[in-house]
Amino acid sequence: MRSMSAEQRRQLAFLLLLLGYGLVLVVSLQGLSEGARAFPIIVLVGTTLLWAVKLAATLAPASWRAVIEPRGIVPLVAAAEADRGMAAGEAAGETGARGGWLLWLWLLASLAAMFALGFLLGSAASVLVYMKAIARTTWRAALPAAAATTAFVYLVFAEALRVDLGPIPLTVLLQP
Amino acid sequence: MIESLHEALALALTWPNPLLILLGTLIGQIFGMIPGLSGAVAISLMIPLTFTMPLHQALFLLLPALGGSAFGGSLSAILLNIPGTAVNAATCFDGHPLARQGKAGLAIGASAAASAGGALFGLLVLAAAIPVMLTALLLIGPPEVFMLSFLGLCVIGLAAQGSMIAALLSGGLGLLLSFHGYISVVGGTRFTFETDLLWDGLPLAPVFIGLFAISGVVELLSAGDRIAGSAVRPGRFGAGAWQGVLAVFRHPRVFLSSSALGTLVGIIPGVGGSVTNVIAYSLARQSAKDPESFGRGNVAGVIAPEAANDSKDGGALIPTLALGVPGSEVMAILLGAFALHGIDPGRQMFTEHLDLVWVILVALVASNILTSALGLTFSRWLIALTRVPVSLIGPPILCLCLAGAYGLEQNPWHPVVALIFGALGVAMTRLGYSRVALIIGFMLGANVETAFFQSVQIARGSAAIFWERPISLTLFLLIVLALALPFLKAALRRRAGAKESGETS
Repeated sequence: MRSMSAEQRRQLAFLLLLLGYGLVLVVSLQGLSEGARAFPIIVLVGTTLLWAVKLAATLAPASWRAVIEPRGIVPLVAAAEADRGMAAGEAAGETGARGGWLLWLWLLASLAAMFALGFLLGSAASVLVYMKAIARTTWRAALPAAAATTAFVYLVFAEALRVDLGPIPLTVLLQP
Repeated sequence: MIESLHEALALALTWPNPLLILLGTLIGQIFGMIPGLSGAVAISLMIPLTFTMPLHQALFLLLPALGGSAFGGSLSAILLNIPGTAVNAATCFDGHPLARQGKAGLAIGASAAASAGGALFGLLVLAAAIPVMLTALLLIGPPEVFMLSFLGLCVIGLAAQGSMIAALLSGGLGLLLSFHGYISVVGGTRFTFETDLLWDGLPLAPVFIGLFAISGVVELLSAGDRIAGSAVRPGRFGAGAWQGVLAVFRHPRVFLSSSALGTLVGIIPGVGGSVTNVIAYSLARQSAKDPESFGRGNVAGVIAPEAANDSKDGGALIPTLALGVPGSEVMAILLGAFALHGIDPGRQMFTEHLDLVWVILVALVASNILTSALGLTFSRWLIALTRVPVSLIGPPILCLCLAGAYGLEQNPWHPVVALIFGALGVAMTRLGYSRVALIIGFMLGANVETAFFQSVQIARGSAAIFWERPISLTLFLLIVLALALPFLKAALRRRAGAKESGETS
């Protein structure tokens, strides 16, 4: 594990996540009728083969990776563009790795606020928290953005679509 | 057929449909222009808003976003050298050099005319194909639908710009995700883990919103402070937008060949537009008398990718509407919108719902003309949106994503599903997996399984039916070829490399 690059470790973690999901499905196949499980079994077998090839490519030395998992056939220009795009994506990924956890934490907190306060107040609070605490913008920018979001949610969801925007009681949440 | 066309035209002119077309076009154009967002994000976000509308009104709002986003993406490609969406990558090559020479107006004019003309070309092909399709669909049975769906997934691997295996694995994951919930072919439910949430399968709108809208905005917020980046300076507009429009008529061969190519590639399920525009650009350059002028501001280098880009939608609608096999992520989301409104694609689309097919055509034609007109008129002001800090537009869009995921069925677990798929979308993008393949696999799942069961029933349990019928056999061989080609190409490249190094030593 220690000799693996960060990219390899991320790939491996994602593959393990996929494996976990596949195993849950395999266990859930028990008790299903023959008709209900026939096609999922075929797809599971095919997907497991692809998963194994991807795992081999992830663990293999760099020189072997192109042999195990070739790129799609695209015109040369597209390949060059893709390289440029992937480089940009990787750069974004690095930036995201630094700011990513905070962003996801904010998203989870926003959802909790929307459930607890309702979607109108929750949206306003979420936008304000992001803009002031994370993006560190001025109140002059944050307040109109929060007000506009709340107004849009109210007009579209509460007025036009007649959606009950909460708050959502905990008892409803605990009955998925 | 003419009656249905009249009906669709009358509907398009009935209030509030013109407003919906304008709104959809504008939203699509703005989302297309902002790199990181796209037509798929716009349509995902708008699906919950259309749930209470009649289907024709929903189509008049959703489809113009598709037309608007492709042209919107070309504006940022020309002015900022950043393709707004992946389908506009090739427009940068000559569009931005023209902008740097002070001829952005010329490039935008050419892009507007080529986009509108290309879209009309593709849609005319679709309209002309309707009678042919009614006959052709009689030849296509469950084994062919099964093979064609798998071919679609394999072609995504073939056209993948990253790893082919990762793209195929994404498609497989999409199929597995589609297996949750009620099974229409045999009755009963599976993989629901004893919750009502999964009884109807994974909810479509939250999956779309998470996979495209949330992940797109999270990537945007992670990437930087301004969408266009502070170092990017927009090119100069100059005059000459009408010169650009006329340039399309001065390059009829480039326009027609690129439009035909776009339509043809669009018909192939799974390929999508990101490949179409670069193939059209490469062909235009190869067949030009002055190929060395490409990349330095040749207007034909703008016409070719833009015409191909917009004509592909007409082609992509053929397998989507006729067989329920989507050609791109936008088509997959469109299929989801059909499903939410209780419409199944297939032969009945052209017999019982021909009016809807015409509504789709009219909406796309109107939006493509409108988006070009809007682009020509307002692009110099609209492009200012890409200079807005992402922290100002990202959080409100994310709040709308969560409210939208909740609003459709007022189920508090749906925003949670959207967040989970948002995280999955971000992980897939960063690790080189294909979200397009996943969503196409997800939308194909039920169709593929039904086609599989029907085929096996027709053949009384024998799998030989998949290679005994000529069309099915041809599709099977194409699948084998699609899977083998990248390996063969890689092997040939290695052999050539080894030979070259042997000669050098």
